[in-house]
Amino acid sequence: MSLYKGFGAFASSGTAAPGMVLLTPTSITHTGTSASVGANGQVTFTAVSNLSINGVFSADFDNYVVSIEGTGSTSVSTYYRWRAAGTDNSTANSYVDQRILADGSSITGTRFSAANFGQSPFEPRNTQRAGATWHIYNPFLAVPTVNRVLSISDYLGAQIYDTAGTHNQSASYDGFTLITSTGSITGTLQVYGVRS
Amino acid sequence: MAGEGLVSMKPSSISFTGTGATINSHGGVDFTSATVVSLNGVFTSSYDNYLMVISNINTSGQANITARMRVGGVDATGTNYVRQYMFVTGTSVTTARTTSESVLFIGGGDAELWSGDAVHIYGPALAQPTITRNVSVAGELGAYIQENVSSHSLSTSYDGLTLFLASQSSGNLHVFGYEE
Repeated sequence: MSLYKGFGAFASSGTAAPGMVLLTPTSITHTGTSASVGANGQVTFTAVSNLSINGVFSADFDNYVVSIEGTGSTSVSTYYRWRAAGTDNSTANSYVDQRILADGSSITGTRFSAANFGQSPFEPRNTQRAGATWHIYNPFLAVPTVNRVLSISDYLGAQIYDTAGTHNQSASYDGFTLITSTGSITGTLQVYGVRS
Repeated sequence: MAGEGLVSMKPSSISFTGTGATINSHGGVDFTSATVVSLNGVFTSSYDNYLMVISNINTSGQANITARMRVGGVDATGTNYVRQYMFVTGTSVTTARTTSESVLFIGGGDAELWSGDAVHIYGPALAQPTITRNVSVAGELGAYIQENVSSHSLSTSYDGLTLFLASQSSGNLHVFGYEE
């Protein structure tokens, strides 16, 4: 079970209570230079091509937000897989993603179907800096997991790179893995549980 | 005691049409086979802006989620709402504006539990027009993007809102205040 701090009161009673709680992974693994977990749960990674976050999804929360920022060693696309007990789910044809890309005056919609991985939670292009807010719904429940990414890619200065993703397995996951298409990523990420 | 940025807003009361709706121990609302869920007392003078997360929606058919602002237990029913939407499915991007609406558009559900919705609400408790933005994911055709921006033109202070679910729906919602 992931670690967190919590409070029992609510704003309506005059005492504030945290609605979003920063979580600490039980463990992380990586391929690349380094990755570590800070005292409050923030994950810092340097030149990694594969980064697995374990034990952040639990029965304590239904929904989560991941905040991620950083750079790429080159123009990098990242992919994701949901993970349970240290093993990624790579079931064939189980991930579908709908992307919208706004680049200058061009808007492009693309659906990625029949994949064993999910698309694009983070898209650094090695020019400035990229970031994303990744909403994840119901990963720990034994129902299909869905997610929504709002991201900025630094390609040509700025791009809107949003994705809606589904995973059709009614499985319970406790974490996720980020995988790069090529090159590596450097940056930080935080996982927050959202109160239901 | 200060919160940690996002503060749970437990309703002072709720009402509903359907099988059931309850306020859970975390301050969120769980509803079962409902078509209407009214939240009272979730917007206060303590916070300007709010986030409402709607998830685990199981509807009897794919349908929009709409809402009306509310104060003192009474919905704002006038045609003072404007909507700008964007749907993205495959290579198709559809966007349009509709005016003189009687509701806000804040998301959509899916018959297969594959949906999640984050609704940003700006200034509802202030005596000024209220604006909302929702960012959602749904599983129709595998995955699709639905976003709405809605505005309500009356300079009225609201303390809640009513959600309308076009099909009987079960799920969870939670309102949070952004600490200032």
